[in-house]
Amino acid sequence: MPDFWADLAARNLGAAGRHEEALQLVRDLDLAAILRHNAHRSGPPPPDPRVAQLLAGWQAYHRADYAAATAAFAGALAATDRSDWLAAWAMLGIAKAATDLASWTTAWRWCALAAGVARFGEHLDLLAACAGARGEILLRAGHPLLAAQAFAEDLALLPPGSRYAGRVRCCLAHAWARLGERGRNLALAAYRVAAHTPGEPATRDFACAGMALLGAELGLPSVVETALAARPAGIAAAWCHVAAARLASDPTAALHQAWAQLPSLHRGERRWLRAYAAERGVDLPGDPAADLEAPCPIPDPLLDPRWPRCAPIDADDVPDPSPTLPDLWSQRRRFMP
Amino acid sequence: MMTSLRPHVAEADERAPAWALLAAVFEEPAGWQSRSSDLLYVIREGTDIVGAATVEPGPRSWYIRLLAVDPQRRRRGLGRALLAGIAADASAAGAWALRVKTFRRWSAMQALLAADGWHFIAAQDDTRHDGVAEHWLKPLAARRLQLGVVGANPEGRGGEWIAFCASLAWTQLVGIADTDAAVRERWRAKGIAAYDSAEALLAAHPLDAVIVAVPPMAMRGVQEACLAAGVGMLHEKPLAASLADLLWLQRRLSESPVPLVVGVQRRHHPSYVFLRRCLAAAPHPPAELAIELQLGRKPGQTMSGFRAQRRLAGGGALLDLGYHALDLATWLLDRPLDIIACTCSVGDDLAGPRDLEDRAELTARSGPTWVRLRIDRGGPAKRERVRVRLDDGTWHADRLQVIDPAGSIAFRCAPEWHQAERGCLAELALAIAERAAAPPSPPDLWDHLSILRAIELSSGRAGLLLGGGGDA
Repeated sequence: MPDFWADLAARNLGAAGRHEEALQLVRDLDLAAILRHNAHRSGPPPPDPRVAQLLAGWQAYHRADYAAATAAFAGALAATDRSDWLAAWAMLGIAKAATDLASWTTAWRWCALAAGVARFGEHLDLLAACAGARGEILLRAGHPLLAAQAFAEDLALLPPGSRYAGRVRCCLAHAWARLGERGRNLALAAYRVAAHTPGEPATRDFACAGMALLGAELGLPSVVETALAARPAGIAAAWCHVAAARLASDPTAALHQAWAQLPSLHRGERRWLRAYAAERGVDLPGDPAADLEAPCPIPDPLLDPRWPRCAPIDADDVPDPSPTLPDLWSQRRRFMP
Repeated sequence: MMTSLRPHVAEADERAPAWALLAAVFEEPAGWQSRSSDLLYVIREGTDIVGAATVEPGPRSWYIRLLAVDPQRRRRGLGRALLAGIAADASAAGAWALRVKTFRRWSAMQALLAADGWHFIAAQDDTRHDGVAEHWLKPLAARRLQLGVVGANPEGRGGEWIAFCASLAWTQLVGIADTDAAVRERWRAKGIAAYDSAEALLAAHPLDAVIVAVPPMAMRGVQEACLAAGVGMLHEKPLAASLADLLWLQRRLSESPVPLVVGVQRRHHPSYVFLRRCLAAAPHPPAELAIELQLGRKPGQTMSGFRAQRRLAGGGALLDLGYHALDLATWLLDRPLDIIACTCSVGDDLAGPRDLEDRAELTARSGPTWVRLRIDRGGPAKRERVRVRLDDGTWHADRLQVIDPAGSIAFRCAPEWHQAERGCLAELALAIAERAAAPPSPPDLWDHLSILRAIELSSGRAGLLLGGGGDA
């Protein structure tokens, strides 16, 4: 059967003023035949190689393999016109990898470039993601208030019912949790709302982790216990145990549980946890040298001659990294949650 | 034949060549815009009419409808001589302002007006010529604008207005009103009549207008007094403490119209006026606009005066400094803003709806333009900058200069507010002058409605982000 939709689009009957003919075509439509036809169609067309490269980049990013991720994003970018939404997606990927490697300035510039392209092309979904990425940079660099604004912008730009709403609320709560008393009270409420927002299952875990850490900072054991009782997984579970360790007089068991739950690919977090455990008098197993690896070089967009006239206004607002934090617990704020 | 470089009202035999000159310069049929009551001024050189102008005289102001100089005889002071002759006759007739409307394409006219002490007041859409008409005004010294100031704190805006009014040749400060007895005594010692209320000031003197420089929560009473007396207002921003108060004012103005100008000086500051003209001339609206205003305070210095008291201030940084940023964005883009997100803070904590926030971060959309505003009443240094991203790159502006995307200074001026204050007063004079012809309708009142709505939407927005309707 010929593809009805392609046929209709080709003839463009409605646009040509032939409404009766178009209407008759719709009336004659054999829906059952279309469904049968669609069922027998071979799979989706092969993806654009640039998209495949980008997807490989994001997979590597989520494995915390930042070298591979950056290479894939840079490769996709080289094959893309700078006004293309794929370019913004690739730039965002580089920005996220740089963020995880604490290269704030580079991350900020790539993020600003991505947002500029997304704004230019009116790609609201990408723009929302860029706002979230900007919030993450600001939060990790020690600017929670600006981060809160970025996450609020992200939330406002998300379409109603977006599956990412819970994640963004959770990030917003992370930012509020690092502010004063009113921010912390609001953060506790926001974590609870985020945990019950449908969408991504991992949101609940990260909301629990954030709640536990905030509970530990406020000296509220019941909040930490509630978060642990929800049995989060992976790194979220590790943060819950870190929160329990902060309140415990003997943190040994909690810190060992945190270490066991912390995936080895989270090198920065593992380095911090080892240092924090040492400060609390607890030795963690394994070779400390294994946690240290050379950081991945991230290209700086302002040095890249392919982007000479694409500097959006955000690029001037490079956030200063927060001053040397007074203690190890404060340095935890470089991580999410 | 008579040679006269002094302008005069045309004799019968001079009318036809004068109209021919105007028609040739304006490329329009002779006399098509003229009314029978208009005066036709000419300047002769030998047998030739070398300059002509049509003028609509009025009791308060004279409106120059057309003015032209023979293109072969430009740059010889003929235009300025025409203007001087018209000004002398207008002064003698008791008018205290000249008005003119010109278009951007007549750049020689703009240069002449600027050199002759005229004030650019406003640009507006027009269907003729290049589509943007510019209003200019020149106050005449014959009759000075009679002004009073309500809210005369010597350390505040009232004090600045008093000093400024005293420095101009075409304004006269008649008296002040302030609720503080010490403030009144201070001004009386300088020979200025002082009263304890706006009503008392208005009852004692016939004023053209009152400069309102009181805290937001005291504004409504002063507005009521001015409206009751039928006296114009030059109103320091904000125009009202709340959207409800502004809607009240709008209703009252429709019932008893008085001239009203809002003193948001950035609309009158030369660098921002230049930037706005650049934006209007660009083929596409900007993609992004970022405005950063930081008041600057010494370490340990806290907010003082009425701004520290919610009972008087009515709001924090958003209503105070944010009003300027919102107004500047609305005016530069010529469209209201839709608020996307706003975060307000007190110190390092979130601000609630009843706090006097000292910082605000605001993201908005205005037509196709993304807008980011950063307001800080407590930053370490005074800072003000505007960045606009157009097709050709990013423009930067502050009160000192406008820098184009190539990094060159496109415009430079003195950063002081006096030029803007003079512009505000000139706009007030125009509003009063035009009052005789038509009831005033402050065209920017709608801007202020949208600004106050944006402020109210932005305050205490954090709680809404949880998905409920509560406040932070």
